[in-house]
Amino acid sequence: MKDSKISLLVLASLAMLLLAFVVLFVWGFSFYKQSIKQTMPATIVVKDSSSITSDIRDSLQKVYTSAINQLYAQLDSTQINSNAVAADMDQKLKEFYGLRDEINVLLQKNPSTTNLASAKIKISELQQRLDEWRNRYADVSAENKRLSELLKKMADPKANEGLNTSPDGSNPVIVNTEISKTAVDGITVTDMQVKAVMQLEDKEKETIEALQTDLLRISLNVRTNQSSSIGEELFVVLLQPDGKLMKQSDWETGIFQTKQGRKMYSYKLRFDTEAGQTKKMGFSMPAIRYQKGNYSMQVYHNGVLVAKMNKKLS
Amino acid sequence: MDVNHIFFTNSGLPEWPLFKTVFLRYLKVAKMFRFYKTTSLASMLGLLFSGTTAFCQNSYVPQFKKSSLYAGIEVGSKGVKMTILEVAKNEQTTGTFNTVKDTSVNTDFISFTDKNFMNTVDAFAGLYVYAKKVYEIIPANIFTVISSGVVGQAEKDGKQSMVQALADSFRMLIKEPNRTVSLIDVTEEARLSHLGIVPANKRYVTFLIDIGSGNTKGGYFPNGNTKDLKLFQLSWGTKSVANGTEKRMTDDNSLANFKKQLYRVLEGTPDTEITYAVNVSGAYNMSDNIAFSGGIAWSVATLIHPEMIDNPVVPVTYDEVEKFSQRLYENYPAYNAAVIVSKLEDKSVNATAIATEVKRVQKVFDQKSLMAGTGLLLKIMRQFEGVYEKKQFYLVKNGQVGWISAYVDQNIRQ
Repeated sequence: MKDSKISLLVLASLAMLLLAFVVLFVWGFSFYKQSIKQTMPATIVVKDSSSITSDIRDSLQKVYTSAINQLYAQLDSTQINSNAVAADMDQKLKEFYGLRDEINVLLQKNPSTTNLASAKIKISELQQRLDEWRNRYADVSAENKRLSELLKKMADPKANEGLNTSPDGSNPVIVNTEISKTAVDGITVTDMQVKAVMQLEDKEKETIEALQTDLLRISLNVRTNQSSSIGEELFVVLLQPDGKLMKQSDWETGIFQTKQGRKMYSYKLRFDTEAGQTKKMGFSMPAIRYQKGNYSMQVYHNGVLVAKMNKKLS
Repeated sequence: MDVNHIFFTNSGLPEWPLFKTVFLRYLKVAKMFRFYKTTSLASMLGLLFSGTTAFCQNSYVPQFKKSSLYAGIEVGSKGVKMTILEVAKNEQTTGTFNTVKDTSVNTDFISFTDKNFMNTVDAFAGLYVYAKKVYEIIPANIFTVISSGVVGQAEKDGKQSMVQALADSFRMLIKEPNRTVSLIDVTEEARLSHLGIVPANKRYVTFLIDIGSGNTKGGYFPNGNTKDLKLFQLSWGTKSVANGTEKRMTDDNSLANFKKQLYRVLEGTPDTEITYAVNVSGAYNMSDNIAFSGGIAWSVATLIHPEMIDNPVVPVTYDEVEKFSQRLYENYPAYNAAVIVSKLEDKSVNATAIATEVKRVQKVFDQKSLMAGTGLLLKIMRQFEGVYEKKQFYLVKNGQVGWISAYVDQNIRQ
């Protein structure tokens, strides 16, 4: 009897111990589960690399679309107001469409990481151009106004005398167009050229590659139609593709006054001429590194733009 | 002239006040050398200098792969100037350098007072220590000179002993009794300035004129070599014109009277002297470019074309400077830093740097000094403003580094 009591007690203790283990196990399990919940995100979405790429592409597409929209808006207003500078516009448009097509190709076909990276670069380039356009818009508008008035004036045959013509009819664009006759009278700029040259051991060779370019050689012909002139000055503004002024040296650059305000020039050409005599002038513009893109050159006389042209280096 | 001659009078008795002050300064600087070990040099220099100066920590980043630093310290009429140059080691023969630091301490040595003498000695020694300790330039690469303006004025005032005392005190302070302190003559200084400032492609067609505070000097190379310089000299500078004008003002200190008296001063001896000196130099026929350096050139360039803050040289026309001169008198507030910055058309320029530079100009020159300096500048420019041939005028802003860079280059070649 006594033995059976003892064994009952042992059994009860064992049962209690087992229960304690079970309770401990349940508590431990629930604690573990909770801690997992805290450390892990609520949902884990496994994405493949192509969908990531697609997301990036979408965001780039958005940036691109907004840039395009802005550019279209800018273009519309610019085109309406600047029909007279269509040649320049066409070129800009060509570049713009080219850039847009390149981006489209990059985004639509095989959107690899490399393509997306280059698309990103091109979009930022597009945006940069947009900024440049915005900055130039004011100039273009003013110029357009002037050119419109010139068109009116061209109806008068007497007014045609001062108009310069480009040798090849396209580029350079010579714009001796100021309404004020005194400001431009007499000055005719022709044969304006910007040559990118690479210097070999004993000779120079023309190139269109920015990487190969050692210096830019600029040349132009100037003729005064009036009486002989002494100490005339032509101010040349040469802008890099990034819009910054190119300088030959600290001693050649300076500031001059235009109708639009003060401007810095890259080089000043000084000359004396006899009436009707054509003078050939030139200078070179060295740089440590030439950028790819469009170089814009403007020539001013007495504060008036008399000629301009672009040079593209690829 | 030896030390005894400086510190002892003819009667054999020492000139005690001067000896005492130099000796005390020696002790002070010697103490500071020890103090330097535990504190920054900037604070030491703050104690050392009583003149106006601005120092910053050595944030020098070498521009060349292999290069050495050189310093030129010059005692000029207005103060002590120091230029630190980084010279490319493999380019030493072509003189390729980068200006690392260019600073000055205004001490007005040519007034030859004891106080200014001591300030000049302090500044001279202080800048030497600065170059040696902060930039770690070896003594052999530090060139110390006294400019021709100082020597000339000392000769005029019979104060040559002060110049010698300055050199001796400096040697004593820096504990280098054998250090060379060269006295540069006016022709050599003008020649070196031309070589250091004017680029090689304009060397033989440019007439360089340095308008100083007490005199004006310059020249050009007429014979196609850099040995023969045709010297141009005037005994008038910005400060001497201003002083001459002030002397004539009597009781009326108004600006209108200053302008009237300035006109009279400039129409007097300076006019005759300028006309004569320009004619004798033959520079009109031989030069296409007339470049002006000196404090007034820097000031006028900064105020006329603030946008060109990064350009060490600014081309100007006679008309521009004439209009500037008129405006200085009629509307001086137009040259206030805030007004200049607000009128900048090119928004890409660094407006803060421009404002700082304009303020610097106004610290150095007040309205009257600017009027006096510009008046003298115009007087000289007028001689080259021909009807049939127009010269290109330049204002050189960093003229002070010119001669020292050429001096360093010349010494390296030797």
